[in-house]
Amino acid sequence: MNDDYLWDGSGSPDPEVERIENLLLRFRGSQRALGFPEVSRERRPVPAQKLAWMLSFAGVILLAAFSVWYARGWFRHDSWSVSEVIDTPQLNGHVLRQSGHWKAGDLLETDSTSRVELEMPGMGQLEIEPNSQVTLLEASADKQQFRLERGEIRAVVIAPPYVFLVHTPTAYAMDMGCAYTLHVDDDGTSLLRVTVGWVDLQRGWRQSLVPEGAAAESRPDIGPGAPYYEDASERFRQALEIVNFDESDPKAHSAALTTVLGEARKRDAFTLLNLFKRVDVEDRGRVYDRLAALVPPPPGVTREDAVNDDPRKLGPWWELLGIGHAKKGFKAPPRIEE
Amino acid sequence: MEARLDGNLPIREAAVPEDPTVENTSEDAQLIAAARDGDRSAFGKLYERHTRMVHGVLLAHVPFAEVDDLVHDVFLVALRKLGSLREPGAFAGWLITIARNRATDFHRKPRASEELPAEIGTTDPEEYEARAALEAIRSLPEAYRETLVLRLVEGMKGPEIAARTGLTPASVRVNLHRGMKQLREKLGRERP
Repeated sequence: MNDDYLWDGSGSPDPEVERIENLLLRFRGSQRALGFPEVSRERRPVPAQKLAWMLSFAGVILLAAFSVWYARGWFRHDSWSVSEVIDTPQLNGHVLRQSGHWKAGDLLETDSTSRVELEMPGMGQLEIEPNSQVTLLEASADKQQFRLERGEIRAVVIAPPYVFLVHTPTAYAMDMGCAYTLHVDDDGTSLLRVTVGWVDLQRGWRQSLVPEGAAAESRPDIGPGAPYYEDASERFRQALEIVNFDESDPKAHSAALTTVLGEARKRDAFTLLNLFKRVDVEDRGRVYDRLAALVPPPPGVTREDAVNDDPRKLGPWWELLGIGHAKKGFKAPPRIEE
Repeated sequence: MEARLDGNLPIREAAVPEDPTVENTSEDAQLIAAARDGDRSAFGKLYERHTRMVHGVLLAHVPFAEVDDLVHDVFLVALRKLGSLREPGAFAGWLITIARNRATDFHRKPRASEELPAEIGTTDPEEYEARAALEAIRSLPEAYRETLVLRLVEGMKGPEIAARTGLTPASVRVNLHRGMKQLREKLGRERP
């Protein structure tokens, strides 16, 4: 007897291999989804009707047992489980243990040497870095809200868009299907870095859609500035800081905008799309001209639409940037009570 | 070019036909691009395409009761670090590396409990035999362990294992053959 059956299942079955396969079937992994919707499952044909019935029956039993076990964890969205503790982080002033849970209203603090990793089935994973202070404000199936007073968190979110929300002193970071890092300085200034997907950062009328690989800063009393890629030129970034946060000198502001437009690469077009709301009406035409030179506008979108900052007209421009569209297929963001 | 297994079973390096069970890495690349754009259903599909492989790699190293949680961990890490993956075609190998690292981490941490030996906790002879077979596979040399688990437990075929793990088909075939030979010897010796 050769090894064809062991190799690829062809040829006459090796009885011992077949017997061991059947024995070990109980250890096979399920292909359940991790809470990702719209996942279709491929079904492979079974070799014989009898085997199909046996497997179906076993599958129903396993599925029922698994569903009970899984539902117990899946539908409990009232607390985050601690998965990793380094040193002695504090939960409401007490040392947090490896087996601990983080519930709504609890304050979690880390010092210079401690950090915590937490997770919740169906929601994601959260890492609290050293020197951080975070409160879990709300924990439910519809909403997981946090307040990051200072320090840094790293989030990997698998919940639906706009379920995972982090308040900082200067903005609200709303997950749109992503992984990101959010850092808050002692003065409230925050820096968001998105590693996967998109984050909607907003405060009041200021909104920044931050794509993968980009960053956005928020300042006290102002809110989020236009996002940018960190590999943009130093001149671009310095000038953008003035455009975003310093309107004290109109001439300097206008000069900074000229530098931003001049230094912008095609890759920076998304930054320019975020600028229409942040510059004076008379400057929007300049932003349009540069943006159109980098990425031609969709058919029918005119300079006047840009000057009027018409979101219905400008929205399709996102599609042409080659970075996807953050809101495609997503529901509208919730209203945030300030 | 002909290679030989244990001196008696000839195989041909280039004679492996395309196997329909081997999924195209370009599909992975498309799904990865979509997942990076925030399409969670695309990441869900990646999960479904590769979960058996990750499950098998972990099962070769850690107790069965821990595997599901670690599979979950591996995909969370993958989602978090997806942006750092430079070559989408290497996704499967990258997942295997994450899975092996998580298995290593698992053994580094002190634990309150250990997996019971096969003879404890069951009176069902078949259950006992299944546990003993899994233990026997885990006691095999590293090179055979994962390959045998992927084939015998997860039901993956040799060509699929080769495509996913990055091993050559000939290496997988050698590992299966030699691993099965050693497994037969162990089970023959250890069967009650």
